[in-house]
Amino acid sequence: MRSIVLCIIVSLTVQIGWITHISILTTIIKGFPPMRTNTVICFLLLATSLLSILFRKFNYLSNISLIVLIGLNSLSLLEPLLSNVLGTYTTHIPGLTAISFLLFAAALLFQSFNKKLIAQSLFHCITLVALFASFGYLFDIETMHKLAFLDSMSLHTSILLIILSIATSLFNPTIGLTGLFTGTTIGASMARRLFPAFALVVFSLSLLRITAHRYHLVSVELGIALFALSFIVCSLLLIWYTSVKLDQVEREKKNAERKLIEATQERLFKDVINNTSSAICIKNKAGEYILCNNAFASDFNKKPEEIIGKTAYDLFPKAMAEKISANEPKIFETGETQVYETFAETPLGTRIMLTNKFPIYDINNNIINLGVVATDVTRARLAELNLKTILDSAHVSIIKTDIDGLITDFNKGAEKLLGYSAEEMIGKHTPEIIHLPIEVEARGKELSEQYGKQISGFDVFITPALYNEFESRRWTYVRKDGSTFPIQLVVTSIVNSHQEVIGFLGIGTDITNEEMARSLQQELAIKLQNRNNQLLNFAHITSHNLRSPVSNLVTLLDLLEKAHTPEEKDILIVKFDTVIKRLAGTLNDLIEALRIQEDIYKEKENLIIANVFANVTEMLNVQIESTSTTIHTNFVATEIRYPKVYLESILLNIISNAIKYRSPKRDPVIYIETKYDHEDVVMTIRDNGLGIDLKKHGSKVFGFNKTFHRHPEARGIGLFLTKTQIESMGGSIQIESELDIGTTFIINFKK
Amino acid sequence: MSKPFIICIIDDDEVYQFTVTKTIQSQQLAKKILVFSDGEEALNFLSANIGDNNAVPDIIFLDINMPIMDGWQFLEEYIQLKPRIGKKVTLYMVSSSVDPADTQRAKKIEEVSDYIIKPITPDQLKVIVNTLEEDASVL
Repeated sequence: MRSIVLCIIVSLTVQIGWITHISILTTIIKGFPPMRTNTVICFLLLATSLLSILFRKFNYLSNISLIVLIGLNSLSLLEPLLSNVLGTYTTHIPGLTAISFLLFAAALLFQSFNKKLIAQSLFHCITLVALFASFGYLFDIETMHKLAFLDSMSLHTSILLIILSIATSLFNPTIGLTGLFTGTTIGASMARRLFPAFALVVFSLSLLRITAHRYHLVSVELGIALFALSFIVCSLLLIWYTSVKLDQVEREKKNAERKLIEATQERLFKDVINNTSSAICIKNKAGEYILCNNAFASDFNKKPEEIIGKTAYDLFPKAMAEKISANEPKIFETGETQVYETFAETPLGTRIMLTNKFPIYDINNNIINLGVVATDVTRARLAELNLKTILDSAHVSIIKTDIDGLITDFNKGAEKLLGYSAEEMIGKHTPEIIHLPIEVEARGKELSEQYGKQISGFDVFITPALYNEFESRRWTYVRKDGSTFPIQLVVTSIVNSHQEVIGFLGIGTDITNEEMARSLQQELAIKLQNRNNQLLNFAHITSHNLRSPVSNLVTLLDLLEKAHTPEEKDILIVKFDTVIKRLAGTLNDLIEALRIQEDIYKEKENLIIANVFANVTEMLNVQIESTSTTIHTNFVATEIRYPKVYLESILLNIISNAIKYRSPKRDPVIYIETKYDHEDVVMTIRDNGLGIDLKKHGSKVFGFNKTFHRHPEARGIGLFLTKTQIESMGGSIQIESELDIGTTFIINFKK
Repeated sequence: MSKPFIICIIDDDEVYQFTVTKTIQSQQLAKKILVFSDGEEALNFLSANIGDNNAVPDIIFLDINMPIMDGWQFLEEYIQLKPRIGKKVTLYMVSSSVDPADTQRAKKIEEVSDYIIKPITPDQLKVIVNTLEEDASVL
């Protein structure tokens, strides 16, 4: 802005000079070419354009000024060519000035089109041209301001152009050479510092050299040599000065950086040690605490300030202080790091501290201080102790696996229960090896159905755990020797801190004793139930089957007393006989039943079922033949351990019943088959006889003296005895029947 | 002259059948005695003679334990049949069972007048018949 104002003032002054013919105003130095009127007009145009650009107003004004400027100067330049046509144009702009103005106008146009790089280059060109001209004046070399084919540029024109071009180049302060001087980098500052000095030195030396040359003080050769030498000396001095400055700057910078790093590190160090749960302190050789963290201080219910500068003896009871510092002289002496666990009495109670004492060296490798890091591991140690007790328990098997099922832990209990050693299992097997394949397969089927996808192998154990379901389940474990035992197994998944499953834990309890107790209890309950039923039956039998004949006897006796004729008496005697015989029979049956029930220890024998069956058919030979009975047999289970008499009696009763209650419509056919159900032998006897209406008589089929057919031989005792025999051996008998189709007896001879 | 009643005995025990028949006859307590060996036989007779008041009994002595169809089963069928019988029939359960379950069960059935434990004495028979006769004359 100021340069523009200056430009205007100078231009106007020169113009006034022209008008008033005061030559001092037009040339400044006598004999130098004056500034022409046209040049003045050009400066004013330029100033107008610059002002409008600067205020961002009247853009058209700026553009018009520039166009006029270009027109005027082009005309001046072309004048020599056009003079023939137009005649001499007296007040033309000097050639160099005209070129400068053209460049200026072009630069400003480029600037307005935002082609900043080109504009900047042009500004620099103008500066160079103007400098060229002014150097001519300064060194008094005419050719420099007046090139052969061009007119000379006046001095103040050149100075004004230099000022204006530099000023306008500030429009783009970061581009080109301007950037070099206006920048904030160390390079820019160096350039600012160095350039004026260099310019001055070169300029002065050149002036000296030219002056000396002009006055013939020295020869040309000497002059050049002296110029070169003095230039080298001066530049050396300048470079030395600059390098000193640069070094200083760098030193300052490094210092600042180091301070920043130190401050950061100290802060970091403090944050770290004060935020760790471990107690940390540093002691010097005199045993004084020179640093401690919050955790250390709070362990003793103090503040760090209260501890620093004091020794253990100042702070704690003597015994404790001695204990604390006992191993410290050795560390200072040998430089050995010590790691150990110790009990510490703190206001929080006795704690187990994992303590690490280590020497701290100075730069020369001398031990100057002692560092202590103590971590409270009380909870972890106690937990480990508890866990170890559990892990080594004999009746609990604890097996840990990785995510794929490979065993990673196999505790003592598992070793004892299963007979495998941990080494045999860890990393080598999955828990499948200790399970019954048939159980795993069956459970796999259940789970596949439940979760709707194929689940087999190791997945069978862990799927519920994966779905976060608690599962405590009875399994059968297989020992190394192949024997088995029942186990109650709980499987849980092990997750890491990101809640990702990383493995599984199976805790199994040997329930052999519980199982045995339970099955014994069940067996006992069944036996008692049977026994109870039998007793109830007996109560019923005695109340009915014995009372009934007795009451008959009483009545008969009464009639006998009242009888008048011998005939009457004879009839009554016959009745007496019937009742007494029946009574005796009933008593015999009862005694037989009682005997069976007492015969719990009836000797068992190994029997071949086919042989026993042959004996029975022989006994029934007559009935079978006379009724054309066919008997089909299929003894899949061929042998049985059972009292022979019982088995014969059972077969005899059921087969003879089948014949006795045959259908009159068809010849009797009897099917007998045996098979194994687990370890028990099951016999099925099916006939095609009359059948029994089980809806009516179901509850009484096996009762004492119960009959269901009007058959002369029906006594209602056979099935009662059969059932008694089977149950006395722990077995069971069931009946299925349909009227006029047939009857099926299913007998389970308990092993 | 004997009482004007038809007495029915349902029991599988021959000796009992004999003694009761004898007792009734000797005291002339019935004009007719019907004897059946199980419930089914008795039921068949009743069904066949349902409208005939000269055939349907006035008093039934029903045993519990019988083959084929026992006393309870007979009762179930009898209850179905009774509305079609155009005559007052008095029914007694007679059994040697002293099981309270049986007596309780019998008392719950409306059609059963009483539960008599065997042996049934001549005096008991006489009282039963006489009571019935008095009731009839009141009507």
